[in-house]
Amino acid sequence: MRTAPAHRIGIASVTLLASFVGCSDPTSTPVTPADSGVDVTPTTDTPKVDAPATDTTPTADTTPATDTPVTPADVPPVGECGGIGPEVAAHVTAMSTMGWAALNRSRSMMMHGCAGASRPQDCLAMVPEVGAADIGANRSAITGAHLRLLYTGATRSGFWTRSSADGRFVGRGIHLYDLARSAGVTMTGAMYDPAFFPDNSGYTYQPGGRLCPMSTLTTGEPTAVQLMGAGSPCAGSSLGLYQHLGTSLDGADYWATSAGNAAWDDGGHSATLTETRRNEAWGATAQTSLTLMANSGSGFTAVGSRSVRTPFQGDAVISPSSRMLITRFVDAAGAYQGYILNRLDASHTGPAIMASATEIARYCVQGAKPGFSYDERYITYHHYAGGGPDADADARELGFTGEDDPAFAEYTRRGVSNVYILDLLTGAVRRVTNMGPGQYALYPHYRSDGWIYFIVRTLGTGREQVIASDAGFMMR
Amino acid sequence: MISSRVRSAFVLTALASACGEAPPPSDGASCEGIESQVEPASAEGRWLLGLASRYPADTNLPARADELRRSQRARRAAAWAAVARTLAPVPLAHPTGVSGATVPRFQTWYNRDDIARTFQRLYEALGPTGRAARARFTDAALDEAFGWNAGFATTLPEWPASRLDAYAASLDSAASVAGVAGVLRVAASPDTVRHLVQSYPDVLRCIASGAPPTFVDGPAASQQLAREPVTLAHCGARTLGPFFVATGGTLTARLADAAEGTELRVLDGVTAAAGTRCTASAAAGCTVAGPGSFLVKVTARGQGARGMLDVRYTPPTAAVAGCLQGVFPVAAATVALEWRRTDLGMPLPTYDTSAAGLSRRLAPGADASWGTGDGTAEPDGRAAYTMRLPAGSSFRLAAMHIRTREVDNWLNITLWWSPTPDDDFGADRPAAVRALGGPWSSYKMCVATEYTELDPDPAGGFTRDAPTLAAALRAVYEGHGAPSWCSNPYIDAGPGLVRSNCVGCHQHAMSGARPLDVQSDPINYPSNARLQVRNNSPSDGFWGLDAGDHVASVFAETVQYWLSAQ
Repeated sequence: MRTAPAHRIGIASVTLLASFVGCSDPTSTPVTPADSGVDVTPTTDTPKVDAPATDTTPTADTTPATDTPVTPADVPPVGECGGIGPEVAAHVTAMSTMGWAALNRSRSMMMHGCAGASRPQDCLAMVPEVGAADIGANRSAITGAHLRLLYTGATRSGFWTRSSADGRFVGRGIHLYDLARSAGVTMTGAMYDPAFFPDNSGYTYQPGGRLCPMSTLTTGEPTAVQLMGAGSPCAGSSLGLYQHLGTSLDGADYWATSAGNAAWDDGGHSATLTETRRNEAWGATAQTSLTLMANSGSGFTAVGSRSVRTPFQGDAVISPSSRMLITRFVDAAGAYQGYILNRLDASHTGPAIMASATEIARYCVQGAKPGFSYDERYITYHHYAGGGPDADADARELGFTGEDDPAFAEYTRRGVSNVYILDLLTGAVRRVTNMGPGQYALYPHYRSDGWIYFIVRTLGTGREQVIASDAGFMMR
Repeated sequence: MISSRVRSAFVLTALASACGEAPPPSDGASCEGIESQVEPASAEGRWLLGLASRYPADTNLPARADELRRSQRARRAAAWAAVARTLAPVPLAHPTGVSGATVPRFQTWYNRDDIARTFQRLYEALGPTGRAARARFTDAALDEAFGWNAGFATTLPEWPASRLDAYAASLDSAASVAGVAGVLRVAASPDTVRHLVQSYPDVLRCIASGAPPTFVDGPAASQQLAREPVTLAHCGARTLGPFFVATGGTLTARLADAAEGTELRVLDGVTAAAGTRCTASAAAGCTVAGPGSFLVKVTARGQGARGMLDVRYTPPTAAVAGCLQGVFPVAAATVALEWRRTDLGMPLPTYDTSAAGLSRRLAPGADASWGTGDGTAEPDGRAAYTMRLPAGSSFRLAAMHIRTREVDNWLNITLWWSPTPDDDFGADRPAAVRALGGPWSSYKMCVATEYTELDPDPAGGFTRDAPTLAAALRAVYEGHGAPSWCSNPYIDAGPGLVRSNCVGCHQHAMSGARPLDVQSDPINYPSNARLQVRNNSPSDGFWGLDAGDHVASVFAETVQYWLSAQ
């Protein structure tokens, strides 16, 4: 069984919502239940959306370009597993001094838990390590690395978790938590998909792509932020679901993406043995829509959109600098194959937009939607295991003799998810966690200084732990 | 001690000249600086700019405040001089690819990132005891922190000296040098920022406990006397005030020698919803007891009225800027900048600010909005101040606000680009500004220092030597004692904002009111929010604390950061 009932409802609801807010790509291949494995019958599952129509401001030109050539091929583009072009090294080198990690250092960003620490890896020393009372001891897969328990949420969350660049705020679904005050902040009107700008200037929630300034969280002791309606400090935008936010470096224009082809991922509420299914086919005509956010002088304005070809790809994530796009890709049969790193060549002459995505690396590892490090050298992701065609390989990677190993049986029944780090420069992969059966380490993402945050869901419990890992420093 | 602002608070509110109720004021207000910067000066940019250049205030202006209130001509001359001081070229701290490169003084001023870095360093250096006590910073500590901030880039491993030198050398044009400060939206002079960071305990107290109310009571000060000649036609009316009266104090108003049938009312409150506390014949007058905020309204029911209105009142002794450690110093100055992109196929709109253009927008039935413009232009770098960012994006300066604290309610100056720069609001541009060079002679200017216009000459004294300016001033003149005027086509873009004056909006900074509220609530913020309704301004008119750059959140975030480490 690959889809739990609760999961199915979530997918259907979100898919429909995407069309409500005008974020779904009208030229995308229609949902094909046979292909997606998702029962899309949303008429009775549609959530109430309280976003007024005026909250959703369409971009000036949201129609995907019609002049974008589409590859007629019906097979995935040729690429070599492990092929890493020289552009990757050039980009990583540039970002080491010009990326958001460096920029945030130059802005003296106060990283959470770093008061008095001389190096990033010395941060959060006051935060207790995980143990038997929470997710269990020995959950770190890396000797010498630490897993620290930031807090325990008393309720389950839905879909993903993201954190502010300074690591102070954690958006665990609709539950936003201020680690500095040890206090929750209710996001009134939010339904899912928290995201934070890499310069720590603001955050967004869905529906309506609500953009809120960070000062709404950092001034005083707020207990709630009203995302919508009169009196809300937040503004509507055209940012669609599963949005990923880059921010321009040195005032340049930048590009924003949101989900077109995606795999809604809300696993771990029930046994989840493989990566979650796609919302639609990721076929030869798959495209990713880029919106040009131009620096008008008084703010960033959506000037227009262009779609770039990303055949057989989905779950696009834009890098913090908005200069790279990483996607997951599938084979002709729709089986997940790994990640493709694309260089975004997007430019404009006046309002005329030119854009393309060029593959510069391919990493054939299994994992869900990733998160970039702020220096753009690494990604971190989670990977479900326990079943499917990769079960045997997963079992071996976890230290078992294979999927038939009796000690692995509990994993095949209850599933598991672990967190990984992939070095984009070398292709090296390292597993961060060593979760037990029925334990799901999910939605890992970096904060600006290199710490990784993720959550842990455990079958049979209603709580979720938010964990910080310094494993990233072990790879540097 | 009573602030000079309270002492001088004899301001007049205008009024409709008919016996019926005054028409409801239209919505809107001018609120500058309420948006954040887009790309501030970076650490390397600050290294190149060096310490921000102090604003060389005219220390004689405070003594001339009353002259500026009563003379548009004197006011404009003072404002142009302040413009020249703000735009004066300042050399960069390090050599660039342009020999002898300079930037206008305001581009050296501090932005939010500078404030954050400086405050973080100061606060950390207080140590646990000082932080717990929310100690003030010493002058030596402030000097050290600002100096450290200027050289902060040199402490970063990714900015070795060779890279900094290469960065400076890469700036090979006037436009790229102008881009060093970034697409700065709001910037503040060194004295402004020094006062702000020194006021952090007061700011935090306001965040925790709330800002002072509209009327702050206090021990009664000595009685004040305000006198104003009043001339009313049949059915004419004038409203004067507000007058703020302390607990235990009184207000007595009387129009000596008023004709029979002339009525005097004291209104309890300063908003459009104010009720009547006392009604009497103007000759007999009214006396009401404090505490409260009052307006005095005189109406000629009979043949008209003429006389000297005396208002004796006892104001409270109260802090004017309750969320700061006192008001800003005289050398405080801020700018809010309106940059427009040059390379996105977006021509610059132009606006007709002649008498005819203004009259059209302010005509009965018009919505008093600037709209999308009366034409377009594509001024080059010689005609409009232009900058280019390292990424290649190019911007021109369409408009800017300048506020300087040489008088109580600040010199509220605004400049806007014009294709006819020597007409109307550019007709009196002095040689000191012309001498700054090409682009700076393309900007027109208006200024307000008070809520109300106290120059009795509608033409502001320019009839003979600057007739187009005189005509334009007449077009916006609403009467002696009526709300003053100063509006920027590029910045005051909201509905009704052709009627604005900067002063009225800024009194609400850090009060808890949001700029949008001020612009859209004609009851609590009457006459397009141009009138005084508070006897205090919590942040002395600086919106950057709780809007725009949200400097208050910088303080709060830093304090919380250290609290969470305990």
